[in-house]
Amino acid sequence: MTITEGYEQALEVVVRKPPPLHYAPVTIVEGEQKSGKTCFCVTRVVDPTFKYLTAIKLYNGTPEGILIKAQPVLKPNGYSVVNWCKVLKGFDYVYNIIKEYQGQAVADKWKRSRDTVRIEDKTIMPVPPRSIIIADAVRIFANFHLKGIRYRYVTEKDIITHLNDGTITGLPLVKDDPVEIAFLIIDEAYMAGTDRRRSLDGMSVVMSHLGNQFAKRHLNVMFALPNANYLGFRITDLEAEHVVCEYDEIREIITARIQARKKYKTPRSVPIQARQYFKYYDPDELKQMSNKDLVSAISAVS
Amino acid sequence: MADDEYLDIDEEPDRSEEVGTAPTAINFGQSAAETEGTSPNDSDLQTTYKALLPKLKQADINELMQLFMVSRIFPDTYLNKKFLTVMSLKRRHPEIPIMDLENYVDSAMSIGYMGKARLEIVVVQGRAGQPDENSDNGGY
Repeated sequence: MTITEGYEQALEVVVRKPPPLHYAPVTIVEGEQKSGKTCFCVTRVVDPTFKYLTAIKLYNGTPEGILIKAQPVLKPNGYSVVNWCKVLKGFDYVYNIIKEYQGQAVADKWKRSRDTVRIEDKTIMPVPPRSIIIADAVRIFANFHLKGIRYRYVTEKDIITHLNDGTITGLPLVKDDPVEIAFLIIDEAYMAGTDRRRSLDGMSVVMSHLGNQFAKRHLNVMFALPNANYLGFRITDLEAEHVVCEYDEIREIITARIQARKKYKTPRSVPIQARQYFKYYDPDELKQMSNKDLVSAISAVS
Repeated sequence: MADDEYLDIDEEPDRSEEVGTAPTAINFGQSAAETEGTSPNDSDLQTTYKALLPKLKQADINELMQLFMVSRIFPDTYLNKKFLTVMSLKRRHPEIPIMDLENYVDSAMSIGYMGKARLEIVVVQGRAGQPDENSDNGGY
């Protein structure tokens, strides 16, 4: 290769590149069982999805759905209103579609929930039932199932398989990809190759190597598990934000004690109204244990 | 419900129209991001400064009062200065009662009397910078 050839290659611009991150946004969420760890992770992805809302996929009995363009409903201080959207085609258009495919009762119930607050604007409405919210600028990977929001389900096997082909990333994949913010949620992280007791497993080695590339991959990563001490130190060293959750079942409020070293110095206690996020995930979803573990356990018993 | 769809949107997202704004009269509740972003938790130092140097709602009076608080006000000019300031503010803000203005100016001037507030700020700032020897990590 001559010097001129190398120079020409350097001039090629393939895709738009956002500015590099100045730290790895890794969050470790801990708390006892049913303390709202998963719900906290869900709030972190639902809020930006509502902020960058571009379209809504209405239910029509098929996976394709009916795609209509939509916009977020923003408060004067810039924060989005969760579970509300602005559909430019108007209220009656959406009402008729719900009535056609889900029945009169569902449509009327949805209409009542809007009428209780008495909004004059005919385009602002609650998110229609069984619809999927789509935000072009937000990319979400999760190792559990989210509902009513566009995301990509990834198991640990998927993460490892696709590490080198550039899909586990928050960077644009093709030209004019509008992605701006990307999340990777690893729930039950003690089962996802980050366990302290198994730091020499092949999975743990790969996960720790991946951990040191989160900033380069532009991923906001969240590890949720009962106790941060279960994680190997190569993962805990990455932590930029530590969250401890606690749930009050009477007021339905998750109190998250957040210590974000890169954002603010003193820890912050944030009371989160949990009810508005319940419909976006299944709190009782079980994570499958690995066959290798089960085989070795059975052989130890018999 | 398909959960892993990354299809193209048939209609191009239109950002030319105004984004929907929530009616301010209706309480929609707060999202998690809003609760975290608008949390009033300040650092200890910020809380101390807020208590030491209070703020007024009126921007122009506040600007003057903040100056009074950190300036050196000498005892022999105290009363004259207060009288002149209150009269000039009354001319600028005829809607505010004279006694309120009197209280604003008197409070601000008493904080800055003989430059005491300057010393307090220096003391608080110095105390915050010193590492606490009793704690394990040296105060950091």
